[in-house]
Amino acid sequence: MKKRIFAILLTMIISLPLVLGAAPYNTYNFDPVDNEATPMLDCMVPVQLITGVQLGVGDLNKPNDFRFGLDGQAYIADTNNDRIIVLDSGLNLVKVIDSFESGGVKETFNAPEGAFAEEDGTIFIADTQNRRVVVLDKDGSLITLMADVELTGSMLTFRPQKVVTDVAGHVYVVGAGSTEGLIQLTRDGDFVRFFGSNRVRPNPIEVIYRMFLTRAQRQAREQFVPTEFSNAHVDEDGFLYVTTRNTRTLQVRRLNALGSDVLRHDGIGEEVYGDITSTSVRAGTLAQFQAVTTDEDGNVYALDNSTGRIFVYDNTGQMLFMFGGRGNQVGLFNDAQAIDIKDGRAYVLDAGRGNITVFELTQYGELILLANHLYTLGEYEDSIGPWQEVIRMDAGNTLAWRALGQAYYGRKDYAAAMEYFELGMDRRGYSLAFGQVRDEWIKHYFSVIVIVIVLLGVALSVGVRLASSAIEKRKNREGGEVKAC
Amino acid sequence: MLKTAAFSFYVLFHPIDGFWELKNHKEKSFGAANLILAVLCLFNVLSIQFTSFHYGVLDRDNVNILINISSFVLPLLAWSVLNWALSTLLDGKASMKQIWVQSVYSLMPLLLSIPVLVIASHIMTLQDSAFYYLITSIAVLWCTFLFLFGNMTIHDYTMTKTVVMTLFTFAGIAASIFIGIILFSTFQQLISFITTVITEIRFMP
Repeated sequence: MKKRIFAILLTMIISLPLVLGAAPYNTYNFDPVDNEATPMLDCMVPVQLITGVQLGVGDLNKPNDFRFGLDGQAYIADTNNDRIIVLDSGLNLVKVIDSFESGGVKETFNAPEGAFAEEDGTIFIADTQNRRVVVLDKDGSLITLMADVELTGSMLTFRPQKVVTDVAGHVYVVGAGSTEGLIQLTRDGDFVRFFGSNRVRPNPIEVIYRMFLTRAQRQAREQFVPTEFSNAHVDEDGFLYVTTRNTRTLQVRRLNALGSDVLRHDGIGEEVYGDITSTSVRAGTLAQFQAVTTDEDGNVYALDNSTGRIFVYDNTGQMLFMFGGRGNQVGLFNDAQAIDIKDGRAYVLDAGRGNITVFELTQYGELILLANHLYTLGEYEDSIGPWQEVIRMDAGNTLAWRALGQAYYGRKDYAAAMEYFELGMDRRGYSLAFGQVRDEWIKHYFSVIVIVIVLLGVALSVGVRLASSAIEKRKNREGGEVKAC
Repeated sequence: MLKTAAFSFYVLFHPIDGFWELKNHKEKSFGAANLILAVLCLFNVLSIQFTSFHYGVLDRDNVNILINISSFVLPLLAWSVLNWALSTLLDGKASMKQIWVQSVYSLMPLLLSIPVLVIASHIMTLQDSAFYYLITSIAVLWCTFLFLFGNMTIHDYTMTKTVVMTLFTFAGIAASIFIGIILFSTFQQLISFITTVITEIRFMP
């Protein structure tokens, strides 16, 4: 009997890590000093797994998009089943859209890869293989059919993969192979322009190599073309976020109305998102950013398809933590395609397994987000409490030490700031705080310093005079003695 | 010995006379040089501890004093051996011991700069770093100057010959490191071969 209880207990203990709520990955952040991945406490843990069967719609087949529309409902583009699944905010099934009526004829989708809804429930569906964007109202009847879109000045065929609209109602389409950027359409489906294309960054070795080639050889080589966008997202302020695959830098960008990047990439060395590798990156491990989303504080969650990791940055580009990974346990993914955030929960869609993993912030993660939010707003005083709580849980968090240093610097408590900056390995901050301490010291002791200098000067001149007269005397005496001889 | 060590201050400003005196007329100069080297190593270790954070070593936990000390001693040793080996072939007049003494005495500006730098680090912010690094560069330039003139004096060389000899010595150091690595790896392979043979014999059926 005893043995049996023991055995049961043992199995329970062994199976503990398999229970939902424990993370099967090691959370880390990059050390600002040497860019080494430094382990930290888990910030986001998987809490739930949602499959198509649980939703009552049968297995999902290679779903490519999951996002909350502005109407609060969730939309899954179940690509290979040619349908869009609509869920309410609690992820209960509302309806399945698999066809619509156009001019009295029933039409279906062909591998739709994206869906998006506006506040009034107007749904934009990127009907990829039919090469059109279908706009339905919230009852599922057709509003506009954006087909046969003529992309003026480009050889590209219109194959929409993702579609979003901004506050002004412009429609932006991520088109397959669209190296010129996002495709902007009017609400009637007319082409306006290409928007926010990636800059070309030629490889210097390639440039030199090309100098030695003939024109024909040069043309035969791979051309320098900007990389295409992989996904788009509209944040709370109506700005567009875009992700790019197959590049090493600036994989996540925030575009303004002119299509230029307005994201501050302060915290990141050479604007590299995802895993930082000091040595050369092998082709297989190049980060493939597939989706991006933002929470209400403006933190950016960028999903790297190749490692299955989600990297979390604040709106200045400072990495806060990561979660997820590649593998078969709950919390790891096979082919993560989409991510969205709602009420502090992250939903990650795995196209390979056709399920959605729900992540929740841990207490530690919540603290970091809260503290960093206050900090980036400039409310240093209020951020001190949460940061100190972060330190209490994990004294190895360099970010927290640095922020505390900054907060105490703002409070004009420079001695404390120096201490925190030193713990956060921040030389620049330390030097600034130190300069303030030094200047205060000089101000405080200014009169004393002046008196000391004056006294030293007087003593020196008196000493020199005395010494020289003594030498003179001695010389005279010696001279006298010589004469006496 | 202490008197000879204190003579280094005279050498600082009068390298040619100073090194000549040191070589020909001073007693226990070898001991004095070792004393100076010990102080230099000590100062260097102390500077890691006492330099202000914003100018100091970032990762103090990973400082290895032995490596720190050998980073002074080993290059000096290599220099002395190789410089002697080459200068004896090209009619240099100094013994290996004298070269050692001369090189250590030439490091005096470095030794003197360390306390100055430590104190300066507690006065200057990073904005004043230009002045901070000015001190270092002055010390290094002065050391180079002493090295060249010292070497010239003790070998009784001309300046051109000294410079050429210095370059030869550096080449010699590189070559000896190369040969050292080759020897090391050869012996490693030899040893592993022998141990393999022994194992084979022991477990032979």
